[in-house]
Amino acid sequence: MKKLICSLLAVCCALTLCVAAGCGGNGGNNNDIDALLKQIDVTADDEYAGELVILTTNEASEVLTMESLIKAFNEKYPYIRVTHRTEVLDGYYNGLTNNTGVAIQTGDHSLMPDVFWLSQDFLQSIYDQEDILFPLYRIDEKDDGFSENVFADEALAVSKANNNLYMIPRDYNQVVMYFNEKIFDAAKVAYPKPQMSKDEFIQMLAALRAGLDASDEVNDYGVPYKTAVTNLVDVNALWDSWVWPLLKGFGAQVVTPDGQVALDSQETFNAVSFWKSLRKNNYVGSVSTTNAGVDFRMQQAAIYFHARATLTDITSSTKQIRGVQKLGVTALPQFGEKYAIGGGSSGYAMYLNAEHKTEAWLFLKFVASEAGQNAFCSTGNGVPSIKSLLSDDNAVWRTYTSPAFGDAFDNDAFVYGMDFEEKPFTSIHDYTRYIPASVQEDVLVSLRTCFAAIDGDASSDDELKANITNQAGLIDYLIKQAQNKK
Amino acid sequence: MRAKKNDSRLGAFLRGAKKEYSNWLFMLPFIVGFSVFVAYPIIMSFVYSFTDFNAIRIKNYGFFNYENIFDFSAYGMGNDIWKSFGLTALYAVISIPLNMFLSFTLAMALRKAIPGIRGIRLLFYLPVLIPGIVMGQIWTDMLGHPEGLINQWLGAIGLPANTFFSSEKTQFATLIAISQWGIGGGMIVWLAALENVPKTLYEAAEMDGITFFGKLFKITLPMCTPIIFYNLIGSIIGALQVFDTYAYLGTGQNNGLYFISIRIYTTAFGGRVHDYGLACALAWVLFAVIAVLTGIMFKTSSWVFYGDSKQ
Amino acid sequence: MSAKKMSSMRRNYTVECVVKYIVFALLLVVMLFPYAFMLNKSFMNIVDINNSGKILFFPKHFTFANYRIFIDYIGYFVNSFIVVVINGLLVPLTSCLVAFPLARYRFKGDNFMFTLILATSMIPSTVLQVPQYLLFVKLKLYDTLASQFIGAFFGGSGMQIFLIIQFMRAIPKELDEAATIDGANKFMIFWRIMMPLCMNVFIYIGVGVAIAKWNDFQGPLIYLKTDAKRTMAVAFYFHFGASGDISLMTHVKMAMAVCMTIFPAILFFICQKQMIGGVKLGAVKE
Repeated sequence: MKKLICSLLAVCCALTLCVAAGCGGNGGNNNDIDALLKQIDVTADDEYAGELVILTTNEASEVLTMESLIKAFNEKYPYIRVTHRTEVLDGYYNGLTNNTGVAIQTGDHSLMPDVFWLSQDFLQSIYDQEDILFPLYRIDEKDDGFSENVFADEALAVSKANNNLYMIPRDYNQVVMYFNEKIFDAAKVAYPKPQMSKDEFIQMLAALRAGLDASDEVNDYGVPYKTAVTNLVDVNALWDSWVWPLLKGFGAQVVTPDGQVALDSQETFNAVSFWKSLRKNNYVGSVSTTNAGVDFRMQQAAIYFHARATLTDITSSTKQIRGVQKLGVTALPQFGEKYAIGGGSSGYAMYLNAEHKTEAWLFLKFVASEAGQNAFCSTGNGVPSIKSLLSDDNAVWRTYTSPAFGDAFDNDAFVYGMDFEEKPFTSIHDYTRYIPASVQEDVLVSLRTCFAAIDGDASSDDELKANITNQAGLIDYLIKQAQNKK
Repeated sequence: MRAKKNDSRLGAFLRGAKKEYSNWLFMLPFIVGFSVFVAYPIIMSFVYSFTDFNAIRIKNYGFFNYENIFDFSAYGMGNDIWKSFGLTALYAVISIPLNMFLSFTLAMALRKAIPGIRGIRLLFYLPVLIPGIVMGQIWTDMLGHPEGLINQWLGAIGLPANTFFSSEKTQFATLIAISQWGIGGGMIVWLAALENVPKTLYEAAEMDGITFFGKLFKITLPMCTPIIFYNLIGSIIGALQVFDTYAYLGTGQNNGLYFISIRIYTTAFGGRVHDYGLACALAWVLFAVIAVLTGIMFKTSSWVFYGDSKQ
Repeated sequence: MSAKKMSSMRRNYTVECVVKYIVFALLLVVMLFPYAFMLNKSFMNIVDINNSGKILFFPKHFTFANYRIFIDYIGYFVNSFIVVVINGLLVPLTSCLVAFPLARYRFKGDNFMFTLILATSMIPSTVLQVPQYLLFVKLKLYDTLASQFIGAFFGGSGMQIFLIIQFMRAIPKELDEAATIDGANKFMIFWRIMMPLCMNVFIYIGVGVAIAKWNDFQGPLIYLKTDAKRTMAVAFYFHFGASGDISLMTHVKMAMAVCMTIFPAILFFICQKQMIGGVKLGAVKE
């Protein structure tokens, strides 16, 4: 028995050493960007022949967008054959990481796509994983036919890591207030105006509730609005682009620019208790709902806070889901002393060791061009990310129309505040740049927990305050731990 | 003289090996499969547990993962991790005996072949066949608070709504309760075991006038001890790795259902930074716990009665 | 036995049956509740599904239309079927092969192998995922249906082998001795004596593996990429797990789920006799 154990241990040690030696070779950055850059031919013209593999999630709007982009891309570059792969969002980023690891160890990079969709929320962490993103700013330096200044500042800011460009932003997304004009008509309430004050907003909700209770009108399913509409406002309250602007609007901070945690404050509590009051009055549904948007699309909610990216989802009408047939949109209300509108961009990035780098760069440049942006906007789901189209009143995204739009569908809502002196637009980038990347996810979870507690057992004011203090302490600890590691 | 001595030891070994090699031949599929598909990943995961591998590169080697697991300072990782272990242990301690008792009772009830027993057994087994992804949807619809189906019915008959999964206080009990819908699976194993008890033993005992409980405790249970043992080991291993609730309940209210297997998974694949090294370290700690428990079970397994075979 | 005693026994039997049926019926109402709910939902239409948040048990608008979804899944059904059949046959076979020497013979290293086999089932699978993934890619098994049944050639999981060992141990050794005297080698003992006696455990494990593989979506999710190669379970997850319109179609999802349970239910019903009634150990008194 003793001999058995000894021999086992000996074998284990030997194997461990072998394996460790083999793995140790990977601990170091042996990617030579210059050599990789040489593989990109920035002078390639429309006749260039090649192949391209693009990966996106399998959500309907993403697939629709990619297909319209590929179609327009092939009109310009008819000899590049594009393959479009899809992946469930659930395992999307894991797949990228795992496949990169395998590709590096086996040397076979065909597992990875050349171009893949990326959202701003994940840019920083994907960048930190190393070996996944190609530094697009280096190609920018090399290629005179492209400049990052073509993008709007907001879109550009969230596409950078370490102040360098790593993602081509496809759109400029600002959270807006969609509303169902038919429900407002049934309740005999005036349509909302941009930047309502908090009190006006709450008064409007109360009037909606009273008006619907007095109304006998039915929705397209034959159900009367007074029973169909249980929660007036449909929103995913734990969405990062909602939580942070709400906090900021009330004057709260997560971290100060020098990295000190400032979450535990009266302002944070004010934001949380405002949302709690909305919840207690049943103006909004469960805080941690996973079905945000469903009620609105099934004509069971009057208001929906989201961005342009899901526009066709809202209006599309199938036998099952009727969509909203008289859609209005306006800019967000101002909930606190400051006016904050959430938003960001998603876009496309290039794999560091892509097998078809030239084709990938051609595609990315195309997405940033007016032709590409217009192809994307023609689906209706996009506000462009390039300045020239944003300020163009006749651009495709403005002229796009649908029979489902009501009279109060105001395209200005999607760019509201861009020309203000103190721009209300804010993304999580505003505070994540002050915290180490490895704790970003934990910080986001902590912020969400502050709000999710509203629906839990411990939801009295004191308990919510204690929860905020706890989360602040946790964030502080995690940041210090991450800083010590370095 | 010397040559003979060497030869005798080597020769004995070789002769012994020649007799035994056929045994190893039978086990060849497992040995090959194990070396390729299991041994290699296991060794890799052991190595990774000493690194900060993030599925792409390793940058640091050291014991830091294990240090973190046992770090019990305020906000230290150790507090949450061992809370997960505690939850999992609690779940195991409650659900295993409960499950075994209920499925055994069910098997005893369905043992006798009354007309239609095949269909009845199938009906009890049906809940086990529902795909996990669907089961989650069904339970959340039924046990939602306050608008779930069960709460609606409770309200209709005047009882107060139960918070089921929405409250930290009731979620654990609710989970134990709904796990019992799977006793159909255990029932099958017991039915097979009960069939094995020779009828002659019962007949002989009945001649001597034995009671129902006498039959149960003196004949049925002792003859079933191999299966009880198998079920016990299997249940321990299974309960300590419970994972399926993650798909529809996440980690529960205030992480009250954050079992250790779920924690390993979210450390490795959840969130934005894959800390695969830490996940491997956690898995090895879990493995050690399971191994120790199983070892204890085996050492104290003299109560298992194998009948007339080798032991 | 007197006629009186026989009729009273028959009466007792009838009473027993009636009591049992009543008890079973009550129990089944509870046990089958989730299944009934799933079935009911599969007959609802979209209005009933949403119903402004009030969950319905009985459909207000009864419809069969949801079951049409199965036609889209026939290709996936074939893939699932292949995987399940290969696994269901090969896993018990190789498990019996491996279990045989450990159950019947003592030899150097038998305890070690036994412990090893048991230990493999104690390892949390999450952790093996990443190195195994790398391994499968290196072995060119990525995006092939073979990745789902390659494991079947190498014995089942530790617990299955353990179960077979438990059963085999109870078979009397006199059979082996008799066969050896007649000049049979080990393999013949295995094939002609052990296997027929273990048929029921074989079926039990085979059906168990088949059902598990049928519902398994996590394994195929990582390894099967091309849509045409997907099994039913992962295609189900891929389509209904995504966000977007399809995931809201709970009624269609439930119809598909009901379809998915039919195959294992049939399998179980057919093999029930072997699985339960008749795993005879030690009753071979020839």
